[in-house]
Formats: sequence, C-alpha cells, structure tokens
Amino acid sequence: MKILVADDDRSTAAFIQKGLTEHGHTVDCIHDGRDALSYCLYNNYDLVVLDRMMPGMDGMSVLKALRATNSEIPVIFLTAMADVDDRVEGLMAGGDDYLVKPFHFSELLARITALARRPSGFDEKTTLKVHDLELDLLTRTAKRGDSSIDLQAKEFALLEILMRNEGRVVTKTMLLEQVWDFNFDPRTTVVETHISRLRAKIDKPFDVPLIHTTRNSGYSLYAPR
Amino acid sequence: MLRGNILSGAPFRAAILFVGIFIVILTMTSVVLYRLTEFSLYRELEDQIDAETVLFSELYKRGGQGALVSALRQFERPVIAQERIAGLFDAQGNKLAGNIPSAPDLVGWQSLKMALQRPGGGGNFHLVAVRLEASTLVVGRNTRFIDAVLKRLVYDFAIAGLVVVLASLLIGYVLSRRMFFKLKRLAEILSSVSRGDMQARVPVESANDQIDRISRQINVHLDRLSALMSSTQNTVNAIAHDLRAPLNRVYLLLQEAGAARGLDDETAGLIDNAGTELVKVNEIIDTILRIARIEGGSDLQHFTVFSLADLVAELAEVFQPIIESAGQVLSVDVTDSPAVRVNGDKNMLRQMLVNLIENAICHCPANTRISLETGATPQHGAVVCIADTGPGIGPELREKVLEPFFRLDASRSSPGSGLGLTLVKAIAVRHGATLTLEDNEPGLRVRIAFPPALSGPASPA
Repeated sequence: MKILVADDDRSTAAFIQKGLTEHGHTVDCIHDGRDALSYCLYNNYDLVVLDRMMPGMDGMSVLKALRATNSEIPVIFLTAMADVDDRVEGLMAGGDDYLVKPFHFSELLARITALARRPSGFDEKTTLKVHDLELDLLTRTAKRGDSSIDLQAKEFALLEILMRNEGRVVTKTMLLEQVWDFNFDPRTTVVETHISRLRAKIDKPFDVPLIHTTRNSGYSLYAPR
Repeated sequence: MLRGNILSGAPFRAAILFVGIFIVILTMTSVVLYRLTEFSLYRELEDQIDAETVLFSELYKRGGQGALVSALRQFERPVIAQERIAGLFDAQGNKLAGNIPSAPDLVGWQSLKMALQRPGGGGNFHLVAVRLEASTLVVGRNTRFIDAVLKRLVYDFAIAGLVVVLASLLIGYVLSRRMFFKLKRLAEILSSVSRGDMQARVPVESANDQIDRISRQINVHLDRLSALMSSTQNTVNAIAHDLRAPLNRVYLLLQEAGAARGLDDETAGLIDNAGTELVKVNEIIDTILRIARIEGGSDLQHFTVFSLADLVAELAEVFQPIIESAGQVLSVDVTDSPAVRVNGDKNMLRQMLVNLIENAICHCPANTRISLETGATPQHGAVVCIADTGPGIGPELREKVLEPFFRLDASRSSPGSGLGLTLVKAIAVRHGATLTLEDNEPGLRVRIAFPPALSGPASPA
C-alpha cells in the first residue's frame, strides 16, 4: 500500500515510516502542511496519516481542501490534541480515524489495516460469515453451525466489528470507541470481560476457537488455516 | 409573576410614595383654599346684607315703623323671595312685614335653614337680626350660590388629584417596566456567562442611566475575564503540546528499543514496563487538560437533550459482568420519562458516570451492592445516584476528595491519579448540576442533580 505520512515531528514520521515499511508498505514522509496537500493531489496514495498541527497549513485545512476536491482517500488524524471535542471535529471534517499521541505502533497499524480494507461505497452485505459462524445483520441473529446463539445488543456489535475485520487485529481502543462510545481508557477490564463473555457464547461450546488474542495489541477473529 | 416583578420595582415604589405625599399635600391645600374661598364669599355676602340693613335702618329712623313696613312689603312679592329675605317683627315676635315666617331666636349673624311660604322658596340663608328699638329687623340672602361654588371647588380638587395620582402610577409603572426589562436582560446575560458563554455582553443604551453605567462596567470585567481565560487556555494548550512532543518521542524510542532483535526477556520486560508507566503519565496530563478545558469551556455545541435513564441503562449493561466478576451485586432502577431528560454533552456525561461506577467497583470489597438510580428533583431536573454499600467516605473528607490529587489512600498504592472525582465535579459544574456526596448508611452515595432539561443550562428558569 502507498502511504503518505505528514508530521512536522521528524522522529515520529521516521518511526512510522520504518514500521510501515517493515510491514510491506511504501511510505513517503513530509513535514509541512502545504506539501501534504500537493503530494496528495499529485500522487496516488492509498492512505494518508495526517498530523493536526503542522507548519504551513494545519491538518484540518489540508483535509478540508482535500475533501473539497472530492478525494475519498482515507485519512487518519494523528495528533497531540486528546480532547473528545477535537476528535469529533476531526471526524466531522471528513477524517476516517483519529489517533492521539503518544500512540503504540500496533494501534496505528491496526487502524491503517482496518481502513485500507474498508470497502469503498455502500457495504451491501447483509450476512457475515467466518468458518461456521454466521451473523445476519438484518435479523440481528447469530448462529454457529446449526445452533443459534443468543446475543445482547452490545455483544452483537462487538462480534460484528470483529467479523468485519476478519483476520485483522482490532485493538482495545478501537473496540472501546466503536462498541461503547468510550473515548477514554476505563480503569476496569471492560473489553476483556466482554470478550470473555462473547467467547463463552461463540467459542466455548464448539471445537474450533475463532476469537484470538494478540498480546499487547488486541483481538482478531479468524478461522483456523 | 412578571407584573408582580414590575410592581415591586424601585421606580414603581417611588411612584407610590410620591402619590402618598401628593395626596397629603393636596388635602391640606384644598382645606386651606376651601376655607379662604368660603370666608371671602361670606364676607362679600355680609357686605351686601350690611348695606341693606343700613338702608332699612335709615328708613326706620326717618320714616318710622310705617315707612319700613311698607318698604318690606316689597319682599312679599314672589320674584324677590327666592334670593333675598327681609322681615320686621315686634317685641313679641309677631311679623309686621317681610317674607320671613318667624323671627330667629338670636340677634346677630347666623346661617339658618328656612322654609318660606312662597312655593319653591326656602333653603339655606345667611342673615342678620338687628334691634330697632322694640322691634327686630332681619335681613338675609340665600347661600345657594356660595354652596355651588364651594361644591365645584371640592369637585375640581378631586378631579385634579385623581388625574395626578393615575398619571404618577402610570409613569411609575412604565419606568419600573423599563428598568425591569433592563435588569432582566442583565441577569440573563450574566447567567449565560456563568454557563460558559464568554462572548455574551450586556447591551448598553444611550440613556446612560445607572444601569447603563453598571452594564458598561460589567462588560469591562467580562472582557478581562475572557482575555484571562483564553490566555489560560493558550498556556494549557502550549504545555500540552510541548509536553506531549517529547513524551511521544520517548514512547517511540521505547517501542523501537523493545522491537530490537536479541533482547533478553528481562530487558524486554523492563522496556515494556517503562512504556506502561509513560502511558500513565500521559493519561494524567490528558485528564488535567480535560479538566482545564471543561472548567474553562465555553461552547455548548455538543449539548443535546437526551435521556439520562437510557445512558445509565446502557452503562449498567456494560458494567454488569465486571461487577459480577468482582463478586459485587448491581441493582438498577431507571425508568425513562420526560423528567429524566438532560441537556448535556453525552460523551462528557458518559465519562463522568463511568468514573463514578468504576470508583465504586475499585474501592469496594466483594458482596458490595452497587446501585444506579435515576429520578427527578422537585424542580423537574433529572437526578442520577450512584450508591454503594462499601466503606464510604467520612463527612469531613467529602469535600476534600473532589480536590485534584487528593486520595483517601495516603500511601498512593491504589491505582488512579486522584483526578477522577475532580473530573466528575468539573463535568457536573459544566452542566449546571449539583454534585453531592452523601452517607448511604453504610457506604457512599453520589447524587448529581441537573437543572430542568427544557430550560436547561442554556437559558435561565
């Protein structure tokens, strides 16, 4: 994947470039907002990692200018502004995701991977299927093999996100944001507890486990290969 | 309510005081004027009667009783009898001539009511009785004219008084109303400032009255306050940025170090721990910034009206399994109704409730009952209570736990930054809500009472 990293902090940009290159991506780094806009307009990037505070032109203005040209390129905001309001503002302006500094590389990688495979346009799938686990998005029901599984609303949402990201790591922070609207880190084991509940319903009674824990990073759902 | 406020306003009270004083002065003046007028009218009447009496006495002296009697016969003609009276009586009181039926009992000036024989005659008369040797001469005039003048005078005074009283009350009401609306607007602006709208300014009119001068002064203070707040905000943002940049770099370096090949497990573990601690430092900075931002916050753009009951029910579902696995019991009592709607920032309130619920989970032993309730205040604002049957907080410490970095556990061995309740309080204050820590007998009961959602923090009740 061809990725542009725009961050005025050279060490951050270099760190991201190094990590993403190791994971097989092609990465360009620039450190000025105006450069960010022209690079986006004249190169065919698959994704942009955009710092909010940059010399020349701030990240918000770059994004707004970009969206004004009807560009649908996925944009992840990277910023030192942690407030919920900043987050909302960034997403409202057309950002696809929002990551606060300091961040763990695996968090950024998970979000880039999730965005890259997001199907463009409207997702018309009404059922999700992984191995013998099936999720019907219309009737909001789940079944594994022939046995139907009774899920609460939030358990369903949790499973849906894991299944949509089949084979990819979904971090705890991503789950907190997307399932429970928590834009902060709870002190208690909210994600772990609900994952273990979900496991008890969809994995425990069956021979093949589908939900896997990636240490220090998150969870992923996939069938055994 | 509104009329009551206007009628109790200072200008209207002043008008009432003025009306009272005016009525006293008017009454005194009227009495004096009435007496003076009465006195001078009677003097004039008496002068006329005197002149007539002198004329009749002259006639008596020159022509004797016979001449006077024939002169007084003139008075018996009906034309004269209405206004003027005269009569001559002998020593026994028998009438010799004139249009008076009987002699008065006394000699001298007097006012009498008298009925004359003539049809239509009679009324109040002012008269004088004088002795002419053995007989008595009586001369008088009807006082109908004087009575009419005096009546007219009283009537005029009453009309003038009434007009002045009504006008004063009206002027007082109008002035009071103007002042009331000016003060009301002032109160509205100040309450919207206290809710965080730092752009609000009091309008100043050209009248330059006391209120305008006070308004101008208030605006000067608001300007200074908002300048101070925005400079604090800028400082806070600068610190955030300057602190985060190196923190971020350290975190990246640690990640690179941890990813290096050929690390022994011990070193990898140390690097991992350093990273975890760094994340905690960052969380504290985040929370301080968030508190500063909420306390100094001004925009209401993320405020919506929503059901507190729904939010609490949603969080109860999230924390139910966590509470269960801690060996504690959760009880939830929420019913959605218009009374439990709040006007607020859902993200902020969610974080506030999570902080309180997690406090209960983390600070209470197993078998504790944690209860979540919503209800309404008598003022129709929503109320949420988070209560536990745990160790509780002593009354002397309930204020202190809201202070930044204060911790009940002085050794600071328990997790948490000591900022959780400070953030809770900042969020409550931002919503115009009252936060109270009460004794749950046993345990702690945190009660947050919101203002009514319809008026909300956006406009005064």
